[in-house]
Amino acid sequence: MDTDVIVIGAGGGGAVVAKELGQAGRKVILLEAGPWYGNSKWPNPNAESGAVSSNRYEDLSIDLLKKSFTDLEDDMNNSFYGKFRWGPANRELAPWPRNIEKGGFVWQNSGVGGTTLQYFTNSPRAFPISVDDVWPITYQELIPYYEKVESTLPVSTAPTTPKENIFYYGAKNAGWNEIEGKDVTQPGYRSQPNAILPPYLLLENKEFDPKGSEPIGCTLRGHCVNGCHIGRTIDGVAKRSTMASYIPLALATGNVEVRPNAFAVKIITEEDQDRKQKAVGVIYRNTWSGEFVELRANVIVMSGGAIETPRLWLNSQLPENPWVGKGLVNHWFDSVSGIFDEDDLMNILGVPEIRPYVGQNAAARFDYPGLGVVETYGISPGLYSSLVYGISGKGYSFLNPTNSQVPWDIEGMVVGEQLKEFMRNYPRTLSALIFTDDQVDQRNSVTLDPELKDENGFIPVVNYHPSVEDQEKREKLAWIAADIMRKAGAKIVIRSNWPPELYIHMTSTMRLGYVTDLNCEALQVNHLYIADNSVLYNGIGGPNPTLTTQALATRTAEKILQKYFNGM
Amino acid sequence: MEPYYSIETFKAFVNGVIPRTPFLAEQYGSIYYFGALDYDTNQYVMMMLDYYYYYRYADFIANLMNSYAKQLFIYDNNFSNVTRVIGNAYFASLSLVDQLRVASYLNAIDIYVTPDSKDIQRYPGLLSIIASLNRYTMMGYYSEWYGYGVTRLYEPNQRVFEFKPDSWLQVGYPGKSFTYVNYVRQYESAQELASSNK
Repeated sequence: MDTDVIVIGAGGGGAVVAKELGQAGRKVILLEAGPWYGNSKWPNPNAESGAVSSNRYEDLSIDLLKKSFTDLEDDMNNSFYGKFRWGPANRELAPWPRNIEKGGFVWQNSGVGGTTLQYFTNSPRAFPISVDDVWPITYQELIPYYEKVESTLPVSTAPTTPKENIFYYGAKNAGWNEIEGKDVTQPGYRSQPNAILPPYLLLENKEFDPKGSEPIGCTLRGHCVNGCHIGRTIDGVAKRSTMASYIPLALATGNVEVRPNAFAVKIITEEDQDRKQKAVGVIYRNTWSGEFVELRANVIVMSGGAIETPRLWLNSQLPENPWVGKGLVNHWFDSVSGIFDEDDLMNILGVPEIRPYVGQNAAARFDYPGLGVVETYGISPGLYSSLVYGISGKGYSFLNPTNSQVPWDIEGMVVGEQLKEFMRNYPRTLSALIFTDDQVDQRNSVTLDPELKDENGFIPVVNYHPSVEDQEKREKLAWIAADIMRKAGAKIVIRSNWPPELYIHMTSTMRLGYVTDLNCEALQVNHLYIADNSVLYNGIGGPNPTLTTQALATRTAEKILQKYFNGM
Repeated sequence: MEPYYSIETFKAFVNGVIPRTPFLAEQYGSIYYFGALDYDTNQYVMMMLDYYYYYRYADFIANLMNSYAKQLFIYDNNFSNVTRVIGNAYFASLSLVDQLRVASYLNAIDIYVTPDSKDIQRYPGLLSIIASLNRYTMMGYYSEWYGYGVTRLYEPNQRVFEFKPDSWLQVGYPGKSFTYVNYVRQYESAQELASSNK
């Protein structure tokens, strides 16, 4: 036995399990397919293989993190070669392929921290009505775990800058109320619960002293998505990706060893006395050397995300189950934007611009239990233009003019002179994402391509077709978002109308109660647990799934200790 | 070296998405004249397609765009206002609007058939790549990429950020920043003042 527990994937879920088990005294090896930014054992994480593993808090290096995270969006977020991509650490190699239907892409990345490296940190709880009497466990049961994650990350209320203020103004004028509390039962708007340290300087009215020792917190500089490095230590970084929150805590226990550049390609199983399968180990491939390494442990936890976890199950030829890889939920996103006049902004905000690049990337939200979510976002212009104007399921807007029956002026991709005119108005544009409360459908799936393999096995095929009901909910949300834009004073409203194949909130491909028991242990394979977005029973009503996955992962760690380690 | 029609096709495509705009320049200042061709965005798109997949895609996709352009050219009267095609660059010979029509057409179909498409047909992501050319063009133009200067076509680890691209001037993006705390603080004070005056 090499260790007590192997956790596969150091993202939103895996890092939580590793920290919880490490704190309870269990020895953990945490495998991560991608690089580790901000660790002295990998001084050039994208160019040299570096060490095999790190298990010391002292190895963390904020100076290296500042070197890697350049605040430049093509360097960080290019989906082919960016530092945040789904691919090996070595950027001279191609990204890992996925078979996706046309038009879309999967916004997910490898690396210690996983996709939380680039996420907006939005950390709302599930809508209670999407859990109670729906999930096989109650909302009440999740609350203590939510509370634990909220205080560990920690989660705080996002500060308000002009882009949030104009949204609140529009929502209020549209007749919606501000909602309070974390358990949302009524529609309304509120500040985001974000996993970002509050802007200490702003609260205390202090001047910034670059040599001082006090914490900095968020400086509202708008680079959440391109990698936050604001802080004096890795665990003091303002944005609480698991790289900055749970991983340092895990290392501090002295019980957790993290191996980046380690792509798990097979779960090893044996038959136990009852002829039932049990997981006993993992084979991973070093992404630099190509070498295969076998590790053995008492318990294995799969945390590779909603695409890779079912892929690994299937590539390992674990027992058949009609729900493995099935039930994919994606919140079928959309984006609605409003362009404002300078004079109107002066009247409403007292400043002539919204400046989407100022403040936390997504800091205001509108929740509607039963329908989904509308939330503001503002990011750097390359990503911004490509999302707002460069992706649509409706084609080019100039080939599909809108009519007076819809509340937006433009629908679809915008190109040509109009694109340049709209982008000239980037500082005066407010954009909002839509997350649909889409429902689980067994036909939406992650399967294996029958022929195509990469170095890690057969590649995943991702397939997602929302239902008519999902579409109706999304339409209602788009109307609400457009109405908020109008009531805020927008002169031009643009609906991007994204295709379903834009994958950001993928969940529910290894569902609780179908693939796992109520403790998140696989029904057909003992000693094998799941702790990522794939195990969520459904799309939790539309809210961002990370916090719920982290709460569930905290609970799963407890269950693992109870069953396999005498509660310790 | 890419064939002539390939280079011309991507030049034409990025120019359709982000053209030069003399009208905007007249209204808002000369910086608004410049478009994708002035900042090598076609090279960005071809670099993406060629070097970061297992197969060199740029040629294949240019070929597809040209064969569909050629078909429309021959069979569709709406496309007949072109008089001369040089070096098989059919796509580049179409008007901007017709080029985007061809691109839409390629986005709308599920199977591509060209003489050399057999091997690539099953490659993962092909369909999503063609539909993503608009997104790549915008990323190439509005991100920092042109600002890598002479290093912009180097491997990503070797690039050095040299200057802010003109596209940032066109959109009023200041680039990297350390803090907007003071800006927001001033804004909050202005808000308080405004509400106390009401």
